[in-house]
Amino acid sequence: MRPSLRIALTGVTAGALVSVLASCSGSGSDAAGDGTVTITVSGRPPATNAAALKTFDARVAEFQKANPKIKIKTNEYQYDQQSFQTKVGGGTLETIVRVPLTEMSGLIKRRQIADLTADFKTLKHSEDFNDVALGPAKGVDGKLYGIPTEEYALGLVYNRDLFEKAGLDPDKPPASWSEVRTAAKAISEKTDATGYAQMTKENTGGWMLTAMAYSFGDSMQEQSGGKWANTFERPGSGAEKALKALKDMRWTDDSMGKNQLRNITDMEKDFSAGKIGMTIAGPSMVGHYIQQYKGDPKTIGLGAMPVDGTSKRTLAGGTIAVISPRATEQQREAAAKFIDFYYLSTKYDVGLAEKDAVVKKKDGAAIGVPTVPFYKPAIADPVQAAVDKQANVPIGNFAPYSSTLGDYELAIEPPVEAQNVYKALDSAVQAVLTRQDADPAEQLKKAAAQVKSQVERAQN
Amino acid sequence: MSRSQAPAAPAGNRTQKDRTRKQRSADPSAARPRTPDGPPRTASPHRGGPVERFVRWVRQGGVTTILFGLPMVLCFAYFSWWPIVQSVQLSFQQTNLVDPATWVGLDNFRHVLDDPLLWKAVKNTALFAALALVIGFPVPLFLAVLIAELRRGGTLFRVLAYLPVAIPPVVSVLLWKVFYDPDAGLFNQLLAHVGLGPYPWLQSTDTAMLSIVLEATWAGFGSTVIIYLAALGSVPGELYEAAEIDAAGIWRRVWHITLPSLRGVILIMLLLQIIGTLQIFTEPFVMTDGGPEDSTLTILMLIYNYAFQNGDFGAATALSVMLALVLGVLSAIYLRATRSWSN
Repeated sequence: MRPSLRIALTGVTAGALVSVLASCSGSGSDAAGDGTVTITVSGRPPATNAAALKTFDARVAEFQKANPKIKIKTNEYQYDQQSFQTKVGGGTLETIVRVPLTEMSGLIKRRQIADLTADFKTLKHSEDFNDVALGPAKGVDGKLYGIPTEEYALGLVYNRDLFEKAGLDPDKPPASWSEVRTAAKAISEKTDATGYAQMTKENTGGWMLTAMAYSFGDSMQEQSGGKWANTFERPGSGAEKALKALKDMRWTDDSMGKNQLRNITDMEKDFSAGKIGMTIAGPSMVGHYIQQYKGDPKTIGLGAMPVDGTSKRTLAGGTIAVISPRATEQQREAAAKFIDFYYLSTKYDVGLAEKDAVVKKKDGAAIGVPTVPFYKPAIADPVQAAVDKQANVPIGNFAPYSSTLGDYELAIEPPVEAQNVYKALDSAVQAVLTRQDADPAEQLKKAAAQVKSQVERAQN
Repeated sequence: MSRSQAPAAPAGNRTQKDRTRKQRSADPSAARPRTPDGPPRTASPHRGGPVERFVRWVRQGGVTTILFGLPMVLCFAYFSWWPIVQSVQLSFQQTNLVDPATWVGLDNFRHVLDDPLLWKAVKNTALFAALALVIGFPVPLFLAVLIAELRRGGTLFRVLAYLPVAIPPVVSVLLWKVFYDPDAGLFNQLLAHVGLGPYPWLQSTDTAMLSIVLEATWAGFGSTVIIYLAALGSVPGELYEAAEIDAAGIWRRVWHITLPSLRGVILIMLLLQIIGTLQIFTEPFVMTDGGPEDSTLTILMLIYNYAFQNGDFGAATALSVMLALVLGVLSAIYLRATRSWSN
């Protein structure tokens, strides 16, 4: 073989790697002759977390006992983009996988997850489920493609110590973006920490900008004539106001530090190390801060999403359980039953909720971190009270968040091509934060031009 | 490779290539005296009909050769060639990996070529290759010559030079990411001592790519140094002795003896480097995720994003196929252009 030919083939191998995934496939029938159905559940705690693993196994065994016709296999798989595609292609996707809210629109568009509209209706209290909480699991076609397992509203996470050092009141976090700016300036000037920081990498830049745009009372995409289109590039849009606010903090006040390339892990690490005064994030960051980074629970504070003007709007986050598109009808039914048992029953049954909180607390999990209630107040409120009794985090620190949560409209992600929109907006946010002469309006126009055809293509 | 069937050229005109070709075809039939003017002697006992040839092939161990080769061929066919064929096929299809794929003709290619990010990625990749060439190509060569010239401690420096290669790529990339931190990073702290900086490193569109090239050069130069050192060992010592007798200084020795002796190796290392840099992925993926403002987005990262972020395997394979074609053409042009030089 001539060297040039050989090298050419080496090049092709790069592409071949991608398609190796597509080459393997296969799915076994999982209904045995005696009517037993087998499903695979991902997300088993790793062996390193022995206590949580024991609790998980016990719960699964309990389910098996109550449902002898359903056989549950478990594994430790947790969603990530690469392996999900590989598993779908190879036919090895678990029956139940939990995915972040942000991934739903892509998975629905590609029809890589099963339609659960009918299965959900058979579940207990399904008619009492909050429409707001169910929204992120719905497609633009109105069908339901997942069952929420945990949801939260994005808010302001802040370091109470740094607030005190900067002469700010840690019990009164900024409620508007102009107050955020003032507080950030104070923290930057009076401490070594960065006043305000924001994620910008791996699509989190667009994600956070969307949350900000919502908090300015705007949306990112609007529907007209049955089709969705981007609206964030309109003059005076929420996204533009958000970028201007960031620009002021970064360049006029110099209160955002120099490092502007952070993903969610970088942010959690730097925040836990006390290097950052404020950021917007989900309350799940509180759990990571306490469990993973061993942060002092007394130091972390949680405020509601800062707003501008009168309309209170914020972005929803969290995880949704989805079911493999290759699952049979029986498997889908069994999986929905398991999701109800494992994730939902502790949200509508007071006794189970309390028992669950007690066990998880013993396992070292953070109890008392505010979440979005799934059910109508008559069901959700007593459950919340029972869980709060077991709290091992200073609930008082989250009061600024929880006390106003009810006033907020919980908005969902841009319905079409959310991830691609976020990717394009990453660049816009990075431009404004790393280049002093970057113009917010111009950057948004550029991002919109970049994803316009993708958003259109996705709806054909 | 096809055996040279052309009539033997007059001895004076023979190039070196012809001689090597002849040496390589060292099987019995080629060793026989040729008959350049007439038809082949079919009556020769060695030629024979197809049956005789087959028997001779079996006797010479042909079957064993195939049996030994088979596992390797099957492995390559199943894990490499078959996926290559499939990826070409996939580039004309649209699939969600669940339902059967549908044929979409050239749609994927059109979609990729319409993507404004493609040209940005092409430009970035070319910039990376150019910077890597300017910085990453001479450094190992220079170090290899330097280490070879050392009278003492050669082994120590070899080990030191190779050490970065022994560190897993992602680890060294993460390490450098910490070094590049604009606030408290090692580089800015060190440079501050001599009154330089602070530099933005990865935080600016102007310096992000350069920072990545520096890391990639550091992480990769070790293996190249070792290869050059090995090649240096084969340069005949008499040449240097002769040069020293002629009072040639070190630079003249390097310029007139070392570099010309190494040109075959240099040529192939350069080609490998160009191909390697055009496929750069790990460094920008881990360090910057293509940012800031897509200034470090490379072609391979775009392929990755198509496949895994968008789940668009059609677009991903279409771009892969295009990349492979471009690399193949580039390699062919390169080898043709440097053919005379390498001999």
